[in-house]
Amino acid sequence: MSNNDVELAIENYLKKIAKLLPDSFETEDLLEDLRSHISESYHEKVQKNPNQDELQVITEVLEALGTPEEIAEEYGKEQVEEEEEEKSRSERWIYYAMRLTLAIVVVVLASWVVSIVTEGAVDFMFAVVVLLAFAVIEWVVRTQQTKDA
Amino acid sequence: MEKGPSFEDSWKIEIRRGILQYAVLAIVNRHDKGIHGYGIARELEERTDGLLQVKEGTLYPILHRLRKERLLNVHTEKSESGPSRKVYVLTGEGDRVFRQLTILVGDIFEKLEVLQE
Repeated sequence: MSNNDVELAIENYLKKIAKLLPDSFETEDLLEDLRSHISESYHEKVQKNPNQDELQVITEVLEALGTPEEIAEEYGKEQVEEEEEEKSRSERWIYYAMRLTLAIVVVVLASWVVSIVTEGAVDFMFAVVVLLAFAVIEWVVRTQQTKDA
Repeated sequence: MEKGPSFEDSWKIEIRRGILQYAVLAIVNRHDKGIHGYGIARELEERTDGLLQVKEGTLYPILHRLRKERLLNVHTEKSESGPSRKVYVLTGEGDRVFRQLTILVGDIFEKLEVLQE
């Protein structure tokens, strides 16, 4: 594209989008995609209609792309969805970690109580192993039931 | 008082987004060697007769999302018109998801037709 006005129109358009988006690698990537798209579309239109005014062509190309606001809005929606998925994934892991910690604490406490009450007749470590085994079995059965439901 | 979009317009926007992701996967699926963003936009317009009324630029956030979900892979190639361009291809997972969605879409339209009778 040799026409300066055309270049200027493209740069202004991309600058407007960049202003609406966060300064990140993703934004750079998106701008690169848009630049390449504009170039493809512009050249195709110029080849089809060589006599058409170049500024008019680039205006049509940019209109077909959408306003900077429309692109930023779509970008925002996709980002929000990604963030929500990420958040729910991390929340799930926190929940699992907390449940595991709680289960271990309960097993250790219960084993200690059993060992004290039986005055050492039931070995503390033995009680830990048995209760942990029960906890694992309970977890497997519950997971299965949830899947079936 | 400012009037918001009509019920039909809001509904169209909501339904279009989901369909658009599927349509992009469908178009990429048709090209074993991959297709670039501009090609996807053009094919979408031609094959749907503009039904989805897509602003071409809004396709790129969707392509970016599909890449992040590992449904699409990308490689760059030189373009005759200037800057290098990204070429999108379906990943194995993308192929699996596309097949599943195709079955689902078929089922949905079948059931909707029954509802219309």
